[in-house]
Amino acid sequence: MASLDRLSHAPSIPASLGTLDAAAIVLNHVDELAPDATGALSFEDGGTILVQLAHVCWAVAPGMERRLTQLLRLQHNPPLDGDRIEDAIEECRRRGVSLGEGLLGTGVVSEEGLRSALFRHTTEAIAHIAEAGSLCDGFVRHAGAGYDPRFVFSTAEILAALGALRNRALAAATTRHLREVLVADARGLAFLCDEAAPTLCALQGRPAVRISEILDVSAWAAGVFDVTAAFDAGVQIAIGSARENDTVVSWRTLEALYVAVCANRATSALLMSRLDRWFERAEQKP
Amino acid sequence: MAEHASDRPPTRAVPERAISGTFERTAPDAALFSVLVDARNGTVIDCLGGLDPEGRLEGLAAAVPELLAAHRVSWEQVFGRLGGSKPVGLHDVILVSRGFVHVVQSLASDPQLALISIAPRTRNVGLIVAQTRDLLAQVDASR
Repeated sequence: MASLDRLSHAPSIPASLGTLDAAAIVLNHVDELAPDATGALSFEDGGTILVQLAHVCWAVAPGMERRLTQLLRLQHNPPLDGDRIEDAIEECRRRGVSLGEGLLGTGVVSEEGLRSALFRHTTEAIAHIAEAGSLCDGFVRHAGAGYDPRFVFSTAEILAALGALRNRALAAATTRHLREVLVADARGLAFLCDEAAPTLCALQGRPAVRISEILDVSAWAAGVFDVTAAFDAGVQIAIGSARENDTVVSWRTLEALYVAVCANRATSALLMSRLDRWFERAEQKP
Repeated sequence: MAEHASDRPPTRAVPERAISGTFERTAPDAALFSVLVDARNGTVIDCLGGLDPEGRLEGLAAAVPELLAAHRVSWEQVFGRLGGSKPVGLHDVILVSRGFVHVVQSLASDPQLALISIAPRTRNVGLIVAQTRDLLAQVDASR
């Protein structure tokens, strides 16, 4: 079993507003790559983000050498033996196979467990790269087969995971709410509303939006509710439509702001109907 | 729960002088108050009839430039409509509160004009929106 002194990096993730802003800037480097970009973004403090088709598949920051082992151990209850995991990782390196293929092949971890550990590791690393405030050194393209598509993450997923740390209970509630009200063909974003600007904390339906659009859409939604306060402070739902029938629906509660992108007006009408019932029930609660 | 201002029924009629007669009128519907405004600054250009619930018009008209412009959002990217020849913008915005439905629609014939409508939520929201879209089509056709 690994001793605590081998876990060289604190497991907690910084979640201050400053870190979130810096993380958005780090992730924006990924968003700005070409859609077919596969390779490594490196940062001057030694942090690295591996990218596949403009998605993040791995990130590491200085001091995280043993962190993946620790996270993989925790995918089991009781935790797995750390040496067994490190042996499996070493075997992957020796054979030149990907971590996903190698670890799943040995049965050390399930696919879901591996994805969870990789996501957590990547999220922590990006938070630490952001906190360090180091500049991006550049992007080096990689040739070859690329990484396992089962274990890649969107920049929005990572930013939402970091934002959720500001209020885990509320973030979990927003996730449940999105699952409850969203219909097929709709993709949803949830934002925590505290003293700062809306903070992305949950996603549903894998919205294909970049960080910059997420920030713009949340500012738009917050702005709509701000201006409506001048003539009706009770506005709960705002629906915006483009001529092509694409629709964006936003709604708010006391603590959260939601935005859903719908493929057509029928989808937004169904969502509106569900939201109407949801608000009705919420108002009836004592 | 205390009564919210938006829960109260409409109380104020539109002054007769506000109805200029620029557009052909359909059967009047007192529950739907509609005016034509300049989408750039919210100035009221023409009143198409109905009752202004509690004088809400002024605030809604003033908000039109902000509601429709949304300059900073790349809607093409949000909606996944990259590569199109025209920029994608919001054509209408519907605002739903417990007491009222507010609809802001830009005219296809002149995007610098917007039709804004306010209706109490005494009917289905979908019906109110459908009615405002019919009215928009009539206004567009008359220009």
